[in-house]
Amino acid sequence: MIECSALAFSVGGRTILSNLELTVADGECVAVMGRSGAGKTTLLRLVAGLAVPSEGTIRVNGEVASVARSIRMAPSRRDIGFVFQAAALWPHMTVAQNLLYGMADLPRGEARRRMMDALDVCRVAELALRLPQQLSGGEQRRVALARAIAPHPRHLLMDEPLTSLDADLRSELLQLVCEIVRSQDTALVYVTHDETEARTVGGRQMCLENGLLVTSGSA
Amino acid sequence: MATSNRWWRLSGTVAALAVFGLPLVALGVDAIRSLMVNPSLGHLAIPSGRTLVLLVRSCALAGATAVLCLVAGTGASLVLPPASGRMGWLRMALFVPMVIPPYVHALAWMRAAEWLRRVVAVVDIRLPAFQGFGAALWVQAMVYLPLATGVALAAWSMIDPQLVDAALMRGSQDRALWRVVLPLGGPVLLSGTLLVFVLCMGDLSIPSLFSVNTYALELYAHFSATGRISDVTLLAVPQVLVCLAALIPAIRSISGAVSAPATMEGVTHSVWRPSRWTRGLCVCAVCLLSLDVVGLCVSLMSGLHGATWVAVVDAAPSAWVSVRLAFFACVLSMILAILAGPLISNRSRLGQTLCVLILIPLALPGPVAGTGALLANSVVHSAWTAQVAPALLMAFRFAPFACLMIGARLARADVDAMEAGRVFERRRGDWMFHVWLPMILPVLAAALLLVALLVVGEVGGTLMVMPPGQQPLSITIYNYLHYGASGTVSALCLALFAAALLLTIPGFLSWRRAWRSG
Repeated sequence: MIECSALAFSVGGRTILSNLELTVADGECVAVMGRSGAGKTTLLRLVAGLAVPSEGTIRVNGEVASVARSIRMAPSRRDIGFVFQAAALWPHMTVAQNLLYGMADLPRGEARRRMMDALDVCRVAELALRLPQQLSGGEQRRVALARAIAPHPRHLLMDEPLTSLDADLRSELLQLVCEIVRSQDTALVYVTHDETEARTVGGRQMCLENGLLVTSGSA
Repeated sequence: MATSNRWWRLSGTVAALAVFGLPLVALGVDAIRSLMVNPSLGHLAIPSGRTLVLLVRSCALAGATAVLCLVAGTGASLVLPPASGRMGWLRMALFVPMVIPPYVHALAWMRAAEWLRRVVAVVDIRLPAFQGFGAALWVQAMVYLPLATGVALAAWSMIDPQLVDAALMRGSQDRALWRVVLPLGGPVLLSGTLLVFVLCMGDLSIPSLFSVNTYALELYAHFSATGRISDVTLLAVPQVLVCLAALIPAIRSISGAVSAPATMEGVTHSVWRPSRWTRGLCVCAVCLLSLDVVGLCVSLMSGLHGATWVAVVDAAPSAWVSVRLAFFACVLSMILAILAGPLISNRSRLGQTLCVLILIPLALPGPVAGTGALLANSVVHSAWTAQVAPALLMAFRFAPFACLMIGARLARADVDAMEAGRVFERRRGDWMFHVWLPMILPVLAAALLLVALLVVGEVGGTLMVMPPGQQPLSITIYNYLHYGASGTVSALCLALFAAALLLTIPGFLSWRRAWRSG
């Protein structure tokens, strides 16, 4: 479970988020919408522990993860999978190595099994030995998704993961995300500016406006 | 693009051939002519016996220095405060030694070692003399540590912060460092190491002051003893080949790092910071970096008490020669960079040929470059007076940095933005002065700054070409240094330091302003 209370974030005197409240239960899907610059990415980075809040508290699985101006729990201890807006695959590692990086704490056999499962689910198993620069944009997105789900995280954060893909590929990958989330019972926070995508993800739909998060509907 | 202009292509090629090609051709023709007269001279180009030992020693000294700089520079760069923060001045202060020529560092460390010897002598401990391979290695590492740290900072600035953030999501700080940050910065770090290696191979001032016989010193000694330029050229072949092998992979990454666009904030934009243990080691590296700054300041200031002020005042004309030389070398380098840089950025056959031509002077040791300039001067004596030859030598030696940096900047430029400038141009020159020049300005400023600093401190080539009565400050100090670290030398070093800072600060500020404005 992720709980954000009275969360605020400012940079250079500009307030990006203020007094934000958000709770995501285990297995729940939340789609966060908002215009460019509304603070959607910042919200995900705060939850992931990649940015430090100015005010408020973030709890992950009941433990205090971040408080004002301090990160108490390292990102790697939050059991979170993150799909970045750009695929953010490490160019010096093969697809397999990209996936195995996040499972160093598992026995080697188990890590390999999960890697193959994730690649199979995302339909990129045949690309395991390729380098990211040898993949197309769509393949890179699939691999980024596989990297995020391979360790079976309890929470999945996705930051506009389908931007700049064509409509067919986008709808195919979106279906894939929904299947994965349902089958693994993972909590999902899905950031997008596309209402159709938000509806397809299902669950609660929220909108970020002027630094505040307001509920705009549910599927 | 500029390279589509025939006039530009022609003038760039002619300028590059005149400045870089002529001394090389003159050296080559002279060596071939000597070989035809006396084929047995060919053995000079193949190291054996004593020369092989010297080459191995040079490589060992340069290699050890480069590795030491790589480790300490990488460590220091990871914990230096950001340039934009409150402690940003500290970062700038640690780079001040970059403007000081190697032999001034040598003087400071000689003085520090002497002081330490006197202190420990009180408790009856006798330290060995600060001479030999170890002392030369230490001083060279101190000289090039700021450069290695700067290259490491450039390497971090090129890394996409999202890649580091992604690593943090499933791994510790140390794991992210070893598996992601270091491998991604690796090519630039390695290039910096190779550049330090090449600079050490070409420097003869520090080895000579610490009584270490190296290959570069042998070249100078050989020329002084025989006066035969062709012998020195042939003798230099092994060192040039070693340096070229190191330079070719190094130059591209370094140029790319220096000309990275301002929007790339790199690792500092990620939440990643070194773990406690790593940070401890990195802080040690920063202490090492600071030690050099403190050592330089204390040593030079404390050495002033014995200064012969008449000698310092007498050195004013030398300082003027240095500044004038740096100015003319910068003007020449700017012209060459603007004309030849666009050609290098092109992947055409002409661009690649020019790139190779420009790399060779960087691999030449100072004395050989100096003899090349002398030969070229004698070929076209009517055009090159004795006053112009030193500036041309400096352009021959250091303008390649400027050309390569401009070439790399243009290769990375947004082609659409350039083309848009052409499409919307309404008056002749608008594209050139409002689009093209502003885009290369930060890199051009950085390149000229680098050229000015290298010119002010250069000794190896200057010794060969400066006409009588036209001694720059670097040679005055170098000559004094052979009589020991006197107060006069300290005062002259401070004067040189002030001159270098005067040249550096405006250049640095303009580069920073232009870089920040994108």
